[in-house]
Amino acid sequence: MDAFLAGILAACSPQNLAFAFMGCLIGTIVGVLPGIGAVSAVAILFPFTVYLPPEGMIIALISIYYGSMYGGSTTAILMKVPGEVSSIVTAIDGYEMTKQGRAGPALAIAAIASFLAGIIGTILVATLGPSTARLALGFGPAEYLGLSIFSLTAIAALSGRSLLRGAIIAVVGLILVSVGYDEAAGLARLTFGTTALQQGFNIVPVMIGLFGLGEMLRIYEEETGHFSKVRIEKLMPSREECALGLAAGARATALSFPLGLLPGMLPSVLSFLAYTLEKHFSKTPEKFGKGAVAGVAAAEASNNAAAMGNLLPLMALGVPTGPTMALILGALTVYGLAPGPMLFIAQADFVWTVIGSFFVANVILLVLNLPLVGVWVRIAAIPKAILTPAVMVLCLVGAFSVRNSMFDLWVCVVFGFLGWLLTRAKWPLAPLVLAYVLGPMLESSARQVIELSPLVLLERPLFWMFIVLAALSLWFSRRLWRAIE
Amino acid sequence: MNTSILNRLRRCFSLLFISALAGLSVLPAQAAWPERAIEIIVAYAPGGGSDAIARIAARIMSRELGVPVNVVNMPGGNQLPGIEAVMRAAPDGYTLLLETPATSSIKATIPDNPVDLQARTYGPLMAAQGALIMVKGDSPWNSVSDMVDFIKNNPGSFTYVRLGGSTYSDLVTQGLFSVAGIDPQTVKPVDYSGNGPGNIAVAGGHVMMSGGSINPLISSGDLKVLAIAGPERATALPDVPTLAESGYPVDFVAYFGFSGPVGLPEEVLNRLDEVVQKMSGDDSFRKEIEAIGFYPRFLPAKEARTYILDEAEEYRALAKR
Repeated sequence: MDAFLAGILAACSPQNLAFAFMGCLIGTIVGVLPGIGAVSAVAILFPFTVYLPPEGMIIALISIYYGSMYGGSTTAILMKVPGEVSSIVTAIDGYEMTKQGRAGPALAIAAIASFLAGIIGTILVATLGPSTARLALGFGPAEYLGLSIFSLTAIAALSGRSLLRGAIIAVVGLILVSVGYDEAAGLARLTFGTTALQQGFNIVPVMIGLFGLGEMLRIYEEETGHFSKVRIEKLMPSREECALGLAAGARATALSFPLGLLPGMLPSVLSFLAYTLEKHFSKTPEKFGKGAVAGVAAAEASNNAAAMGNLLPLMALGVPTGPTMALILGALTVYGLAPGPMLFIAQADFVWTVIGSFFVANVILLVLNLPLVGVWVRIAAIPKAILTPAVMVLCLVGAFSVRNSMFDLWVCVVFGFLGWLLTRAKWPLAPLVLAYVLGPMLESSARQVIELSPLVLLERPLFWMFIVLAALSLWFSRRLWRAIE
Repeated sequence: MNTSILNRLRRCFSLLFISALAGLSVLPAQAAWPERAIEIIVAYAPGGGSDAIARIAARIMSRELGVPVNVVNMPGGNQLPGIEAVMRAAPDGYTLLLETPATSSIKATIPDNPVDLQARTYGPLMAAQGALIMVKGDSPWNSVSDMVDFIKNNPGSFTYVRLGGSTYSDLVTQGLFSVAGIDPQTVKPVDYSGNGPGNIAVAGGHVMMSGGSINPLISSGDLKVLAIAGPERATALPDVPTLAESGYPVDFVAYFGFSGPVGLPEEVLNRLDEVVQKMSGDDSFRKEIEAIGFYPRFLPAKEARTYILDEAEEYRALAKR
């Protein structure tokens, strides 16, 4: 606990506070822009954080991530323009409340539920982190092989309604990531004799293309949401609304943090799940969809708790659970911070400062968001004819600037069109990105298992547990989508 | 009227003059290397010794040169991706390679060596290190001979971390097997992309032995150091014997320095020599690298080239035997 408090203090240094504040502010601004979700916000802004010191970069990225989630919910509630999938759930009851003239309480409940879930999640990460990292030393080739099989299966099964499409996209990702030199022997693969392909496709321009450029192309086609004039008369919810909202938020947190530890359980999936369960067990299920406070609170709390849960496996094992975590993993490796057991052992100060900054960022967002609602609404009303070209330029500049490479710029453009075509046809993108990080892990752990002796698998119960979990995730995905529909 | 025109003209001229002066004072500064951020490519995963020394050097060089010096990891692939990235970069001194035996001399031992060691501009060397022989913290082995006895009595069950097969750590482990009279067919290599992940695997009990540098897993008790390669003990580990003292003379040491693509300007090399020489004489640099088991060893660019190419010949001859 002392280390956690020291981390909060370190996160409060003027410099770190400035990074957190700027991250929250810019993240919220990008998040309220119609159609730009948290993953896109992190992908687009990633190149501009590369110039910060290590803690600064991670703090800024996490703040951007949080900020854009808050921003997305604000526009979801006020204008039914969800920035991303997870805000769709918030919009169900949030926008109804706005139509009933209860926009203020809806925003306040969303902010408070997110805040509390974020804080509880941070404390859980702080308590569980060090012991998880110790456990992670027990992860050898067999366990990493099992975990990467489980992660890939879960992502393919859970990120879209069609398992087949998810699996195809994951395989495409695995093929793309094997372009270039192989991990161990240094053989060039799938380069077709060109030198440009030897370095492979870097994950950053790929992500900016898929989630930045691709989204912009999609938005440009789409119809704009309702920009009705919103008047916020009363901000504070009533005592009864508070009680309902907090109880629902607490249940959603308890559900979403532990599930968020698992791969494929993205905040978007979990907010659907939390909302559905809340409705199922509610005494007044008929109120859901007609402006239920509990619905808004459940969706928002689940969102944030899942985001915190996602961070634990990333920091302790180096295994990302979703696309945003894959980018944060990229940020860590930019600075030579190898996520995994060593991060908590060798870079304890760093880890605690980052965990402290989650705490600080949640406070900043609570303070920043509600008073500035008027500003967010105006930003969200920027015509897309101005917005989309500007963000596209930002994407291209960013993709180029990470490695000053024209090749990366073209990669971004190609993946931009790919991302646009895939989302249009309702194909999921997350498996492609996860395959990028998990592919090399799958390959090297499989190689190590074979080198040790494949019989080693028989002695590793955790490997078999992951295989069972992979099978369960297939079964669960069928039930999940049926439940949500 | 006349005076006002003159006044205006004078003002114009003085402005011109000032800007010319400013321009002159800026011009030479712009021409001198470095004027923007420098990238040092490390061909290993973060967390190992090469990565650590690159980061220490980057920090000090950044202070000396007045520009950011960034370390970029390009691990795996037998170091080829990292080497390629630097050799194909523009020879302007803004993309440098962390030079280690694995990126140069040891590559000469590969039968179809894919790297042309002549086609490279070698910069100065800054430090050297002897590899540590490490096993799990609670391992029953307390000396190299304990481990060697185990290997000889249990052929086929000993596993060790390999980094692709042609790195300095690999050279030392192969050297150890050879002087100990161990048949390489009776031990199992397990490939990792750097000693960082490799050491974690040994600490977790998944692989039995790894090479590498001083790291936090040693002080936390998760790893035990049996010996150190090279002629001297490490200052930070005074109780750890050398391999020679343990009865297995393996004297290879690893050098660490910088290199770049063919045609790196003389001016860049001179400035690098200057900065690295100053750094290697610096007390705080020495203390920092001693803590991870390295010691300063400066060799200017010209001598470094001869040293590395000679060592490559030596290793090639060794590998043929």
